[in-house]
Amino acid sequence: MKKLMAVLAAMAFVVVMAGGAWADVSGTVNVNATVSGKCNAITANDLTLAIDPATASDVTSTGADTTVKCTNNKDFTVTAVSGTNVGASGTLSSTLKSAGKTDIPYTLTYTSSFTGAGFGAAAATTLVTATAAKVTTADANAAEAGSYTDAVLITVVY
Amino acid sequence: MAALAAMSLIAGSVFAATPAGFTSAEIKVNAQVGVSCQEIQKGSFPSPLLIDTQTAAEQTFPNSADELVRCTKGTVFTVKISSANGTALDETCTSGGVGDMALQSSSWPSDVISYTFTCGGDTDGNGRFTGAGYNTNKALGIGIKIAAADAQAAIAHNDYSDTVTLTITY
Repeated sequence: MKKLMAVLAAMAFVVVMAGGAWADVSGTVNVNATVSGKCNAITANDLTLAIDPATASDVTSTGADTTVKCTNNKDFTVTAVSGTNVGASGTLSSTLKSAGKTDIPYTLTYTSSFTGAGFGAAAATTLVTATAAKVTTADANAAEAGSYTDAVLITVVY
Repeated sequence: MAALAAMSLIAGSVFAATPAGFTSAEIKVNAQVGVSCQEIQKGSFPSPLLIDTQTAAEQTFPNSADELVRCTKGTVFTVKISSANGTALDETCTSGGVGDMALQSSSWPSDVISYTFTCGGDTDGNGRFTGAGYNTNKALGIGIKIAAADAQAAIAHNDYSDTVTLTITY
C-alpha cells in the first residue's frame, strides 16, 4: 500500500510539473485617463485708439493681441462684456467714456468660439487682435477732445 | 427602476450644462481725441463793395460767403485777424468788431478808407467760439462796417482793397 502511494505521488508530481511547463497565465490591466478641458491664464493687452476728429476714415486700435492656451482639440466659447453691454456673434458694441463728455460708441470684435490647440509649444489662440476696436468716421468726427476709456471682461468658458 | 432612470437622466442633463470652469481677463480700451480745426470755406465779400458816400448812417456789408471752419466738438477757439493795409495785427475778432482795418486804393495808395471787421458768430461776444465737431460747420459770421464819417470822407476810386488774414487759435 505504501508503495502504491509512493507511485501515485510520483505520478501526480510529474503531472503537475508537466502542466507548469507549458501553461500560459495572462490578464489585463485597465488604465483609464481623463483629460480635462482647461485653459491657462489669458494674456491680456490693452488697446489704444488715437482719434483724429478730422479723420475721413474709421479709426482702428493699436496695441497687442490678447491670447490664451487651452486643451488640445476641445471646443471653447468666449464672452465679452462691458457693463450692461454683452457681445454677440463675436462683436461687442460699447462706448468709450470720459467724465462730463459725450460717450463715443465703438465696436470690439473678438473670437467667440475656438478649438484649443494645447499647451506647451502649441500656438496660443488669439481672442482679441490689436486692431479689434473700431470707431466709425462719423463718431470720430463728432467726438469731444479728451481721454476716454472702457473696460471689457473677456471670459473663456469650458 | 424606470422612475430612477428618468430622474438620473434629468440630473445628468443639468449637470452636463454647467460649465466646468472659466478663465477671465479684463482689457482696457483707451482713446485719446485730439484737438484741431480745419478751414472748410474761405470767406468773401461782394466785389466791389458799393460804398455810399452820402449816407449819414453806418454802412454794413454782409459776406457773400461766410468763413466756415470745423473744430473738435467743445473746443474753445478764438479768431485773430490782421489787415494787410491797416494796422490791425492778430487782433481778436468779436461780434463788436476789430478796427484798424483799411481799404487802400492801389492807384492812389495814400487814399484809404477805415473799416471794422466783425465776427458775429462768437459764442459770448468776447471772441470765443466753440467747435461743433467735424461733422458740423461753424460759421464765423464775418462782416464789414464802415462808419458814416469814413464813407463821407472817402475819395472816389474803383480799386480799393484789403486782404484779411484770419488765424484760428485753440
